[in-house]
Amino acid sequence: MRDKIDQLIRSISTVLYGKELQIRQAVTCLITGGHLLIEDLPGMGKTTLAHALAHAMGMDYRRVQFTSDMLPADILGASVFDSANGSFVFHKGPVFTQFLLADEINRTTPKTQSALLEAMEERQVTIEGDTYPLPEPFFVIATQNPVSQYGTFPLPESQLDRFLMRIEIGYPSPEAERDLLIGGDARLKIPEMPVSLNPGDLNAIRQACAGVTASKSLLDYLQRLVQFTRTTNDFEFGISPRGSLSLLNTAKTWAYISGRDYIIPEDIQSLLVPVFAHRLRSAEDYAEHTGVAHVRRLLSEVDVVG
Amino acid sequence: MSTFQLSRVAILWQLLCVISVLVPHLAHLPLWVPVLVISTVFWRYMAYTGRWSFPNRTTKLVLIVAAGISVLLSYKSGGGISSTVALLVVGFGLKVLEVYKRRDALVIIYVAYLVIATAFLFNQTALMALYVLFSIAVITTSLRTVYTVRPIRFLEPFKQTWIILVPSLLLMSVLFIGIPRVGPLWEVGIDRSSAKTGLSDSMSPGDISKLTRSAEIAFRVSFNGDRPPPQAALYWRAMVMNDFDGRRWQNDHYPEPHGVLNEPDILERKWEYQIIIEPTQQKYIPALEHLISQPQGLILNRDRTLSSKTPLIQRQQFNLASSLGVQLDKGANLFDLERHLLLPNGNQKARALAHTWWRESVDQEAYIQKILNLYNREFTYSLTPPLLGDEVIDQFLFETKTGFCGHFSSTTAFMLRAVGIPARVVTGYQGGEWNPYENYLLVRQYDAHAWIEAWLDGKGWVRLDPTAWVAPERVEKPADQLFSGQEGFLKDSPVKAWGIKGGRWLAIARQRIEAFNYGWNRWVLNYHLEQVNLLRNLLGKYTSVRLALFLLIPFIVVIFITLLPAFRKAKQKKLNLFDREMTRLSEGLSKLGLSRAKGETVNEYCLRLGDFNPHLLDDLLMLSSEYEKARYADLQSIDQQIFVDKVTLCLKQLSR
Repeated sequence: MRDKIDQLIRSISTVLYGKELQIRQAVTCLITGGHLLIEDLPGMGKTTLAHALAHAMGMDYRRVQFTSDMLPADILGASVFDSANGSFVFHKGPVFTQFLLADEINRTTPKTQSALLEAMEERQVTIEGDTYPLPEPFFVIATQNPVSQYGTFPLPESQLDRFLMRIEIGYPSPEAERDLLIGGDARLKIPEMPVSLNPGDLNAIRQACAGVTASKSLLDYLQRLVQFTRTTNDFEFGISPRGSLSLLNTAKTWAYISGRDYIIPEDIQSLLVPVFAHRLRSAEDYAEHTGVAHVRRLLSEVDVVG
Repeated sequence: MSTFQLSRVAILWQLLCVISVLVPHLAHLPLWVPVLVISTVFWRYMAYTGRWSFPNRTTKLVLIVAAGISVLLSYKSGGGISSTVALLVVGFGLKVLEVYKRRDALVIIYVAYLVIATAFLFNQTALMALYVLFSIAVITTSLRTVYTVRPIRFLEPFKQTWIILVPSLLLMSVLFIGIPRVGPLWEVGIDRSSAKTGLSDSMSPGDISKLTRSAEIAFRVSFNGDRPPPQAALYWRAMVMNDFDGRRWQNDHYPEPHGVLNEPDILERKWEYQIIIEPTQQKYIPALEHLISQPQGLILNRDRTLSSKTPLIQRQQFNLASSLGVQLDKGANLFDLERHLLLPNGNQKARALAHTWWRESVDQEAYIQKILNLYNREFTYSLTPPLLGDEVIDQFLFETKTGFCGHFSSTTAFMLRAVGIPARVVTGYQGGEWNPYENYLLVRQYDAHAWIEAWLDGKGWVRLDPTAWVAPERVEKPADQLFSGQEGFLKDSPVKAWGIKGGRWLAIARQRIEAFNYGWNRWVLNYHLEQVNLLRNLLGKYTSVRLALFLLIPFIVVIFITLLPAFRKAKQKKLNLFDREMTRLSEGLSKLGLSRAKGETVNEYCLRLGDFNPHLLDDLLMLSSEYEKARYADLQSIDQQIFVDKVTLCLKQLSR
């Protein structure tokens, strides 16, 4: 099974050059069963990464471009009167898919945002009293521009918390950029990429990941990290129990991908920024820019041994 | 760290701390000092709000010079310790203008502890102690805020300060009770400039009335066996005046030689008592008549009065014993008796009257009875008698016929001497107010009294109180009840008069407060006198081992309680063997700058060490993988001894 994940990561690397860490983090997020938020400037490869992930994992895939005039029905679907039958028929919206790419989620109004986020949490859609379950598995990869850009509606903390991870892609290294310039538009290659996972594989991998153990010593470290965010006054809020559980679960997947059946502190440290940064902000900061810096503090100030 | 900027809360507490230590000094400092300090505090506050700027060098220099000169001018006539304290407070106030950094703040705070301690030089009441405690809490809070970096609410550090202060108070009281008192190596003279209080060393007929205007406490007495002698026997002899110059009674050329205590003839009833005397700046020690003991350090005069070798500048306690009903001094020598017969010229009418009566009398008692009858018939007792001219005795006897103890005793002594009966005037206090809550007798300045002693054949010195003949109630009733209707009584202290002249419940409240003050004086200010007894009661037997235990045990208990949370934490922190070994490695290499950073995992650390010494890389990698297996894979099979040896090896190799 690990080979399949390696293959998945390698094939995505052929369209997004030099970003293996981010690809691994994104794959970890999806295997763990969480939704992913990719935040970066336009043109950094957010959509490419999302596309490639969906294709390589062999998922049924849809993309919604969020705009400021969008309504909840545009995502969830709506009941339409069918004159032939003389009754209302529910037309499913784009959310009914295994893999939803929600592009530029912070361009739309909070009303529409929360409709999507509710679907993400409940994994079902309720319209006019009828409940329609979403397909299984159901992933959302949302992309957003940094909050300070014009025309954005920042997601509130409670909704950011629905995303298991938030990753930034960042500028490519000079070598990677050279490869990109030589290789041409990577997006055109996505349809030719091999599909790495069969339908049953995901469940098998998840079961294997659940078998990864966390020792007492490691849990101590994890709790020290969480406790630090709760007791140090620089943080507006500490990490919630959901946050610490998220860190543990993703670390299990990460350890599994790395070929171990136990977690080591490096696993935790590799995932600390994507899992914690969007859940933390400093007491003085309202623009959510300090999360990453704070996680770096956690990394340097919390003792690994002890 | 000394360049640290102060937080908002720290500055506010700092200013509050300055004001709180200034308050107890308001009473004795010249008015400009508090005004100066308040203005510097205000200036600093305006600087803090950003509206004003800090003073520049020149301004500060001018302020320092001006303040220094002002202190000199204010205390031109010498203010004793008060001038020193004024200089301290002024410098302290000016320093406020310089507080920008943590270091400056610390100077202010440490000096504040000193300034508040000097408050006790001027006032040692329980109320002041309470205030100083509060002030110390404010100063300590200020000290804490200086060191607090994170933002805090204003009152938060004040509450936490009490968590420190309360155990300290406990330890303080243990030290206070237990530590043996040693005389001070160096003493600050309490303000010696203050006026003498109490009786003066001479008496003219108008003198005592000044004292009746004052409700100041003269001394307090507690009796062994709790009950005091009857009111009419409470004659507190302070000074004996032997020489009369026509107006004043005093001791002229011959200071009284020392006396010796002879065995009392009849032991009627022995009274042992402790007397706590308020400072008078004088030497006399009042005592009941017929003294039968002489405390160490006091001088017993020939006339059976006591005096101390130095003026009483602070409250002092003495243990005395008297036996009422014993005759004073039968064996007076001739010189003494002659001295007690001398009279200056003048007052011829009184002299003539005396000689007439003396011829008519059968014996000394009959003569005295005649004087008594005269007083009883024609004289009135008043605290505000008319003023007398040159011939004091004549005028009193034949014209005004109104007066109080000073007039009566002076005149009676004159009349006795005029016919050859040796007589002398005694000043002191009569009576006192019994406080039933603490069982002690409170004698105030308005209890001051004067009477005479006459040498009667075959009897020795006998006390005669002519005032009692005119106004017997003066002796039988406490002075406050007697005088409360009189015009001149407590004229100078209206507030106290309100308490003393007021109703019953006011009197009870006043007695309660005085009982408390008595306890405070006895158990806190003069505790060294009670210490041995108290410790003996507490410890059973007074041995050094028990005393040491008494001091140590509370300390151990308090320190243990304070440290308990830390102990618990340390216990939790007890490290696993592998963690301990890694810590040993890291600490062992810290001198080389190779200790493990907090966030560095063991793998990363071992790799870094491997970079430093590539020969050891294999060993280090093995170390990290063993560690990983033991701590994270939970494998039990890792050989601890091999791990320990490996760490020792690496440590040795790397430190070489």
